[in-house]
Amino acid sequence: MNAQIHAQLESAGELHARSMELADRALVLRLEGSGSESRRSLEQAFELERDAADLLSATDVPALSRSVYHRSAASLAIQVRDWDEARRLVEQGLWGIPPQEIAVELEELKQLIEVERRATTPFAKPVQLRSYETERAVTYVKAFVTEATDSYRRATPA
Amino acid sequence: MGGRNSYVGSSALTVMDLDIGFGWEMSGSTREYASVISACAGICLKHHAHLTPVELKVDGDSTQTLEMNWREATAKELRTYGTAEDSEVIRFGAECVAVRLAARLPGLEVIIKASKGTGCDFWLDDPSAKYEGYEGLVRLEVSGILEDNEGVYRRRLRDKLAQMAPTDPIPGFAAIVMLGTPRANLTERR
Repeated sequence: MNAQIHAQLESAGELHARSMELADRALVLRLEGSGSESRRSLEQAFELERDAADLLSATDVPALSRSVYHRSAASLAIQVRDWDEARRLVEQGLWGIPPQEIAVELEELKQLIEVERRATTPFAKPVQLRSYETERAVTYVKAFVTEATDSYRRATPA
Repeated sequence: MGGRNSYVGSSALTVMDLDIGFGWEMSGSTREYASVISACAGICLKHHAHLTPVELKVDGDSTQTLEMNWREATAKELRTYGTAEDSEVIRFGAECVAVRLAARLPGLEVIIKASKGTGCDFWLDDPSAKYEGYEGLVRLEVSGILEDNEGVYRRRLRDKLAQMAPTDPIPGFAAIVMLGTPRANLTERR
């Protein structure tokens, strides 16, 4: 391992240690019911973990270290609901052939991001149709109902 | 790299008793976290009306019965962390037993905790070894069960071991901890 990679891993390790301290603090605060303080602590933990992962994005960093740091940062991004960063970190973690079991966990995180993102995205605003669009929509629906009714009658013996 | 690979083939636990109560620390985590998981283990063991010390049957690579010292959660911890039916309390309780057991494997100690999906996982190493990323570290995967259920216990172990990709193995241990009649399986993934 060359000196530069070694230095990057050491720096990432220090950031990770501080990140996990903040994540532990966030856990205790959450259990104690201090939601907003817990959230702040978790956001700080995420930022440090993301910095650690980004330090190791270079191609020559060993795959296991890079993928585990990115998985950890993506997991914290999900907890603070930063979906774009979570997705980016998962993609970066998957890049460069990580060990299979970490790759599987990164893929699971990718699915979790989609599920959580959909569950927390507010419903879209109702679409305002112009009058001619409303008329056209009503015509389409009537035609569909008529066709479905005819089809049912044809298929059902009298 | 110190004793990084010294656990291979010698995963017998060098322990006669196990202390999961007050006053221990995990080098890869904070005292606060150790306190949370210790209290959660206490909540689960108290749920089953155990006294301290309680017998912990260990199987897997090493078969033995240990005396496990534990502590009851304080009134504040009980109010804060909830009951033994809470899945998070069970997970933390199991993590407590598993990391304390793993710390007694020859030449290994939890040195890093990493965030992952629904929880975290632990990475073990010789505490005197120089840190060079996750390469060469030993992974500890933990699963906890509150009530005695042999079928679930076996299935969890099989699942944890199967998570290991046969063509691309990361060295590690699977720990299944049952908190009813306290029992733990610590198996090296090969």
